[in-house]
Amino acid sequence: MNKRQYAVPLLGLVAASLLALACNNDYGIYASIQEEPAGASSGPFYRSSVFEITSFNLSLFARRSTIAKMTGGSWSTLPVADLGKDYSCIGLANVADTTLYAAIYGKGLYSSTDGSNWSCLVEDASIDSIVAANGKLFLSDHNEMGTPTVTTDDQWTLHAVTGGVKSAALAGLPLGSPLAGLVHDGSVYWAIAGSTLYSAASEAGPFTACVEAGAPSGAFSCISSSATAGVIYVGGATGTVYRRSGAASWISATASSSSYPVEAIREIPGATASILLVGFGSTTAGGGGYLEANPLDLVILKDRHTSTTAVYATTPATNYDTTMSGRPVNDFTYIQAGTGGKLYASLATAGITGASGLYSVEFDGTASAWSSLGWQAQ
Amino acid sequence: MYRLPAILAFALMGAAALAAQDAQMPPDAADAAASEISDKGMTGSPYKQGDQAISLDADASVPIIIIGGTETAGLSVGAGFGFSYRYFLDSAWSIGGSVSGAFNGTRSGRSLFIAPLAAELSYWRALVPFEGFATFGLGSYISRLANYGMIGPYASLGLALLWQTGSGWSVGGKVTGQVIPEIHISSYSGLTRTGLSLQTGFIAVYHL
Repeated sequence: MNKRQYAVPLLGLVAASLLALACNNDYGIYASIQEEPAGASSGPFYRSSVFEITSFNLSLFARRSTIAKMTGGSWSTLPVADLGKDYSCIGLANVADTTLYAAIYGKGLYSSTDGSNWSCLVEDASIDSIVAANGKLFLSDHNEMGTPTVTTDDQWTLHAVTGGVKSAALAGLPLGSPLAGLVHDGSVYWAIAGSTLYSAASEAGPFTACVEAGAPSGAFSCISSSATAGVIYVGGATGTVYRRSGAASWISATASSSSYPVEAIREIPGATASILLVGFGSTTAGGGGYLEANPLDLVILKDRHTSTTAVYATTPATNYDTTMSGRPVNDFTYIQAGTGGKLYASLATAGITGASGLYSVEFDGTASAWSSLGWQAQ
Repeated sequence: MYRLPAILAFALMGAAALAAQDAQMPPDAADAAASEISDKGMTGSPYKQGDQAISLDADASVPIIIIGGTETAGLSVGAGFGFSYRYFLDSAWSIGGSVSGAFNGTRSGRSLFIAPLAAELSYWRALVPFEGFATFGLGSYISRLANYGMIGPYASLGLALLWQTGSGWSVGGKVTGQVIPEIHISSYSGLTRTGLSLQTGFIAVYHL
């Protein structure tokens, strides 16, 4: 055969290879369409990312760039003190159901006892995030170090806020990366930043890096506590979920693809057992969703694609579960009422046509009894 | 859901009418008719071996159902297009190929694109100045949703009813039923689904 005779089959092989590379065996296109929640064409969260929501004083508060409050079934944007509605909220925390705190970018820490009237508590333009745990408020500062345009040489410090007073930087820190989360497991505080998991017996510290056998490694993206004392969950940036029991033993499960960073973990009560919701994003555009798993062993309980049981860790029967229209999940919030309740999913949908940043679904407490109406855009 | 039976019934009625015209004609008359395409009222096919035709169509893409899974589908009616080439084996049968595409929106605003590439076998009949053909296609498709894609086998069954304009062109309507299996293997077999849809709209055929 001359060169030309080789060319045709070679080109065919290249074309076939390219086509095969364009094929995603681990993603069900029709399956994801079947379970999509309805889109939105308007509403307070249309094309607007929602980062978290919390309940306070019998109302719901959603953090997007501003704070939205649900009153009488409708959402409105809250003005904050003298800032009006032109502000950027970078953190929202309900502490002990008595005070709602908001971190305002470039301004400081604001508080409200009724959810409507706000006052500036701490003027601090370097606030990076706030988080509530065990009835305490923690505040993370971003300290510009070294070259102003470079963040890898910066530091983040963690402070407790007690009685409206910001403490000195907690011992054992500063952090080399932004605080990604902080929880209390009933006796110990846990915090994640970058690729380090810290723990402290007291809110005053000292925080030390966790060195337990089987402890998480790699970059972390979220952390969550459980109703069971001593149990925490840590989400990895490359798709791994870790669970720590009270006996300091760790188990983990890894997604089918490392391109699915775990963005949100929430354990919600079920009729007979809790359910673990694992929300994820994607390192490529157009990815996102969640799965429902058994919190005890991280095995998938409810497979929204096939209704079959599959082991999350080793033989994923599907890609991550319900796709949420391919939007990354920022947070889950569950508002319980009796044996059931309402689950809210906050999504990253900024600028996405047809998408809402906040969806909700009624849930009656059993693993397979989500409302037949499915997710509804707020 | 009720559109499919209605459209298929309409298509079958058209095919039956053409077939009935053909059945009433002796074989010699059919051959004679094939060589006199300008005669009004002529039945049979005006084409002969070696003739060629290309066609363009602009369609509405109507998703019918997604088979498999436990939840309802969420695709809306979209738009499609098609291009095909046909080579006549005799006065009635042609072979060729087609490439087509369709966009359908999803419930949440995403856009599904499916582009089938198929080899086609067609059966032609005419009642000048009208003609029609039924087509069976077999091939593969590529689909895209966001950044995800799939490739799979594809089958179609279509019918077109045309009016000859007298200048080599025939224009009319067409409807094509499409079977689009999305097959996943290994531990992802639970994602396997089959989509059924219709592409129906305007078609223009040019006889080369």
